[in-house]
This record gives sequence, C-alpha cells and structure tokens, in this order.
Amino acid sequence: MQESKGKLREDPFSLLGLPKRFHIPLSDLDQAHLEASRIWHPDRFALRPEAERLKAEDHMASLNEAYETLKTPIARAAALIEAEGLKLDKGTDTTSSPDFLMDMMELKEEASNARAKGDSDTIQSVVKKLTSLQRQEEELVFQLFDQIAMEPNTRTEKLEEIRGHLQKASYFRKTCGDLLTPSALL
Amino acid sequence: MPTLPSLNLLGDTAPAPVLGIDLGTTNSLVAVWEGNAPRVLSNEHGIAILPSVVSWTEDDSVVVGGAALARSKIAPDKTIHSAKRLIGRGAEDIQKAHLQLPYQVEDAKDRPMAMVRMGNRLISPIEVSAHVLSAARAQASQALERPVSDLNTAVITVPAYFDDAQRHATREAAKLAGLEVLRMVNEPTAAALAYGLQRGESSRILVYDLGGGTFDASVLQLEDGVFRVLATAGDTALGGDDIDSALVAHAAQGIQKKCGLNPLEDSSACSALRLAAERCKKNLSESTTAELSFHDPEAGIAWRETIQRKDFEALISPMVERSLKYCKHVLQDAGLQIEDLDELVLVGGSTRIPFVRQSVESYVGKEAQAGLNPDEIVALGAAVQGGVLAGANVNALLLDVTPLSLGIETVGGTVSKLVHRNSPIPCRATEGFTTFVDGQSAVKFHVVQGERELVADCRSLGEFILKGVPPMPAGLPKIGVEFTLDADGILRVKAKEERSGAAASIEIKPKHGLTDEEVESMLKCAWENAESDMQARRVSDLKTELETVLRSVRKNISLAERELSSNHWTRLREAIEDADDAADGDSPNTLQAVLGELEESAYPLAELLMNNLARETVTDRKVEEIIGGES
Repeated sequence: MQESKGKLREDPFSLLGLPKRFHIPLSDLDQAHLEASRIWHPDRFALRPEAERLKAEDHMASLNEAYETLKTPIARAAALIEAEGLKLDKGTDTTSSPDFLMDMMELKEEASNARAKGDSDTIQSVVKKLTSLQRQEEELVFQLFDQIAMEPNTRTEKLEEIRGHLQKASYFRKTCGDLLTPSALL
Repeated sequence: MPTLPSLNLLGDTAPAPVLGIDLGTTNSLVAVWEGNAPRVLSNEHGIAILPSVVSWTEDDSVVVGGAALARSKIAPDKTIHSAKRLIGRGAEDIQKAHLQLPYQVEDAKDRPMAMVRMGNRLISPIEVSAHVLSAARAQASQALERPVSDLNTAVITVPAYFDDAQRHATREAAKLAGLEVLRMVNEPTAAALAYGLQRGESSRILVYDLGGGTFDASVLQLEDGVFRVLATAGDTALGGDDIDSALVAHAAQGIQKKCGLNPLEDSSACSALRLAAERCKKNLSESTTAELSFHDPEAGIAWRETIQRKDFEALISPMVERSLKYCKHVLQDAGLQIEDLDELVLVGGSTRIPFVRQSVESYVGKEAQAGLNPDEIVALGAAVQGGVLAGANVNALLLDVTPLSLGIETVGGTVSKLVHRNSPIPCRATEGFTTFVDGQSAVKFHVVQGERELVADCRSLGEFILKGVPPMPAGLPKIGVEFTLDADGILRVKAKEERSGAAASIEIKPKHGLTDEEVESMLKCAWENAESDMQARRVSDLKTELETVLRSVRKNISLAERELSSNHWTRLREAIEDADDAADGDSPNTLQAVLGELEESAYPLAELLMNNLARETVTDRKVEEIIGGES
C-alpha cells in the first residue's frame, strides 16, 4: 500500500495506452489489454529473478484493475473524470442544496428506523428509491458524454457537470450499500 | 567435492522439464512439454494412468497407483481413494456433501481439517495426495530416464472451482512430494490450452469438465495464442463418484430387499460394491445393458441385476441436469448466448457416458470436439503451461480468472465483497471500512470466499486483527483494506488505519490445512520412515546419473585420448572401468564413490570441452567466468 501512496498512480487509460475518451469500443479495450498482457503477464517472467517477477505481477494486477474499470461504463466515466484531473469525492456530496441534503437525511432515518424494527418492506422501498435516483444520475452522465461526442468544444464545462452527477450517483450507491452491507468492522 | 561444470552444460542433456500433473480424484497423469508438443508419460508397463489410490501394507510401507487399487478389495480399511474430495475441507463439509466413502472421516484434533481414520491413526488427505504426486514424479523420472532429484518443478491442475483452502492444501501436498509448484492451472483451462494449441484459430470455447469428483464449466476466448477465460462455474462435489454412488445405492436397496442385509454397513462389502458399480457404469457406455452383481459368500449374499442403459440414464439424469444449470450460469457470467459458442470441449472420464455427451451436445447445439483423449487432455494442458513457464517456444498465454468472490465480514454477519468472481488474476482491490463501537482500538478482519450475502453461507478463509487503532468515535477511523490475488489465485490481505498508520498484513492460511511446522515435520518424518524407500530411490538416482556421465564421457572419449595429459587420461580410463563394474551393484556408497571419482577425473575433459566451446562462441571470456556465472 505504501507504493501506491508514494507515487502517483497511473490512470487506467494511460496504463492500457487508450485515448482518454468515454466512448471506447469493447474490442479496442480487449485488444489493448491483450497486448499489455503479452508483455506483462507473470508467466512471461517465470525465469526472471524474483524481484522482476513480483514487479510484473504487480503491474499485471494494475492492468487487470484498469481493464475491469474501463469495462463498466459508470466506472469508466469516473476514471475519465479523475484522469482529467477533476477530483471525485466518492460517497460524500458537497455540491447539493440544503433541501436535497434534508431529503436525504429523512430517507436515511426512515431506513435506519425500519432496520431497527426489522421492517424489511420499508428498507426495500428506500433501497428502491435510492437505486432509481442513482440510475437517473448515471443516465445523465451518459447523455452528457454523448453530447460531448457531438460538440467537442463543450467538453470542459460538460465534464464539470458530469462530475456533479457522478458524485451524486456514488453518494446514492454508497448510502444504499451501507443500508444493505454496513462498512463497519467488528 | 567442488561443483563441477556439469557436462550437461554442453547440451548433452536438455534442461530438466517442468512436469505437468493432473492430480485427479480417481486417476492422475503426468506429462511434459517436449520439443514442440506435450507428451503423456507412461510407466514401465506402458500405462499412463496412475490411479489416485494409496494403500498401507502390513509392514506399514506405502503402495500407490494400480497396486494400491488392487489392494482396495483385500485391504479396504488400509486403502484410501478420492482424497481430493477431502483436501482442504473440514469433516463437517464432507458430511454436508453426503459422500459415500468407505472410510471414516473426522477432524484433526485441533482444527477443522478432515482426516481419514485408519485404525488408531489419522491420515491427512494432503499426505495421501503427496504420495500420489511422488509416484507421478517417479513415473516421470523413469519415463524420461532422469533422476527424480532433477524433476522438482511442476504445474499442477486443480478444479477451477477449488477455493483458497483447497489450493493451499494442494500446494502443501506438492511440497511434501518435493515439488515446487510453478503454477496451478484450472483444469478446464488446461484442457482448452491443449485443444486450442492444436487448432490455433480464434474461437469461443465451452469446456465441460465432469471428472471423478468435481464438475467445472468454463468459457474461454481464444485469440492468437492468448487464452482468455471469460467465466467459470462449478461444483466441487459433483462427479463420476456420485454416479457410482447412485448405482451403489440402487444395488444396496436391491440386496437389502433380497438378503435382508445392508452391504453399506460393512466397509469391505462397500468397497467391493463400489468397484462393481464402476465396472457396470463403464460397460453401460459400451452396450445398452450391463450386469451389476455382488457376491459375498461369507455373509451369504449373492445378488445380480441386469441394468438397462435407460434406467441408468434416469438414475443419473438429475446430476446431468445440475451440471447443465452451471453451464447456463457460466454463459450468463461471460455475457454470451449459447449461439455465440464456436466449440464444445468435453473433459473427464464421466463424459464418456453417452447420455452425458448427448445431453451437453444437445444443450449447446454443437458436437463436441474429438481427437484428444479426455483422460489425458488436462495433463497435456498442464505440460503446455509447463513449457510456457520453462521458456520453451510455445505460442500460448493464459489469462485466468478467480472462480469465487472474496470479501470481508462487516457488522451483522454480512459480506462486503472486494474481489468479484471471474475477475482476471493477478488482481488487487481496495476498500474503505470503519469501526462500529466508540473507542474501538482493535478491528477484526474475517476474510471469506463465496457468492452469498451472509458470512454463514460463505467459506471462511481466515481471520486477523488490526491492533493499535487510537480511540476515536465509531465511524471515524478510515481503515483501508487491500486484497491481492496472485496468478495462482492465492490471496494476501493488508489493512491500514489511515489516520494513525496502524497496519497489519497476512497471507491467508486456511484453517483446513497444515501448519508450517507440520509440513516440516512430515517432510522430516517421510525421510526417516521411508529410509529403505529412499535408499532404493537413491540407488536408482545414482545409477541414472552415473549412466548420464558415462555417456557424456564416452561421447568425447577420442578427444580425451588425444588431448588429455597421460596422467589425466589414465585416471579417467580407470574411473570409467570402475564405474562400469559398479553400475550393476546396489550399494549406494560404492555408486557414490565411483561417481565422485568419475566426475573428478572427467573434470579436465570438461574443462577442455568448455574451453573449446568458449573459443567458438565467447572469445573474450575465460572458462572460470562461465563456470562462475553458472553456479
């Protein structure tokens, strides 16, 4: 973990040698991953000294991580925003209006009361609400990327907008996840 | 004795190959990559299949393979088969799987590791598998005419659906057998490797692998020598053994009805019945009816029934249905439709059953690939991977996935997944966690493997504790957890509290395996107990080595006579004579002595050859440098 802290982690696009674009054909992604694997897979280093082998294994893990990230549209969107140097504060929402935050607080409280009472119907309905809110935000993200593809000169401002939607989507996802699987350890 | 510039350096003998071993539930096989193709290695009788059976004789020596299988009738209580179904499991797991095993299984004294009860001692399945691997290694040594000590690296195949504990246990067995596992390859992937290499065009392959004790289904994409596993699914408790069990249960019912005795209550009757069932099953693959009979004059049982193939098919149909359900899952996970598949590959002895073959072919809508022997294909694939790792000129690269999700227990017994199933390996995943109680200074990490949401339904891999977290209100600490899976699918977990820097790290050591100390002591024990065994092996190793050196020397004998000083030449000639005389004897000390003398007296010749070679190739380097660089 020290290593990843110490140096700036390369973004998945650069790792796989792909352009920083949202619209990437799956076949391009597969091909890029395949070419990189040919070089870096630990099997290629079986006869090399251990240090080199471990380095290859570590790099291959990064390549696989990048590949998996770029395969999923929403993760790819988030990776792109970060690769463009915009900060994504996952799971917290700092951009929204106080009204929105109040709504959220109520939703959360409703859920936690329901949980205390073991009322699974209410939990399910809160989860459903959160999921649909998340989907809405994600849909907006995809639409904005489509718009960028049509009007490339609006890219900078659209990316900023996308960042806002991504943050909200991830906030909904995390809230929902916490309801189903708490992130606390014993 | 100084390390000599072994004559092997001169290309007289190829470098030791990496063994490709299919360690099966019922049978094992060993193969190697040779030149440009894999080859299965047979024993001195020309038989490649090594039954995965181990038996202990009256004087406590160990018999493996065909000889052990023969003893399973006369000494069922001293013979263990299907150890693979126990490896890396607890006794409770075995009970849950409802396996009909003709021996008693219980946990080790201090941990949930399934052991086989044999009289007053317990034998671990790891030890049993180690004996099978040793025998495979010996078989390879004989077939390749190389000392056993030369063959110490291997690629071993495991069912794709083996979890972390089962992989660890297999690795331990290899260690006990003196083998370093360079890579563990999933069986269906190995099969695809052997098939794909033959064909070489790009395609999508479904591998249906119904072995003795496990079932796997994998979907792979083959493109330009790269085998990318898209998804894998399976069941480590479904296989040919279950088909036998179904027949055994059917027979037991009939016997009880006719004779009023339950043969399953007696271990030797059970064993005999199992063999009869297996034979009947095999016959039913060839003809439409087969006899299932059982005689035990002592117990006064004589029973026989003619089994119709269609009745047999009805008996096993639920198992086949179950396997097809996994095929459906695996296609779903790979994001493919049945029509997207280009090829169907059948692996494992149970796919010889016509009903199994027909059911899968009709499900996929394609005929299965023929050509390679389904018994051998996995070992062949392991040998291919051995060739890749040994740097042979093999145009193949395997990109495999992890079969099961990996996660961590959070409050309330739920699982937070970090690595999802079918993620490509090696891989890494990180996730943030926090505390549940105010002022909590230690945090427990319970690592689990499986697809279910609740910890209780997943497989526990291990626990560790992160200490030294400074007291903070609940929810404030930021605990980063990192999972790393290496190319064998073995897991390492690290945790760090970000605010304080408290850190902990662990390689998951499964509860169902051996401790490091036990492996050490078993290794030692094996050396001490099997002294006579060792001696025999040592004699055979020494003989092989002696022959190799003699052959190399003889090859260059005219050069020696021409260019060695007369002192050196005389000494070498005498050493050769002594070696020839000793070669038929069985004394390890004499063999060692003549070998030592031969090697030493051949040193000037080796030096001569090296210098000649050096002159031809690396003109500016001295022989010392080359030798120095090699040792």
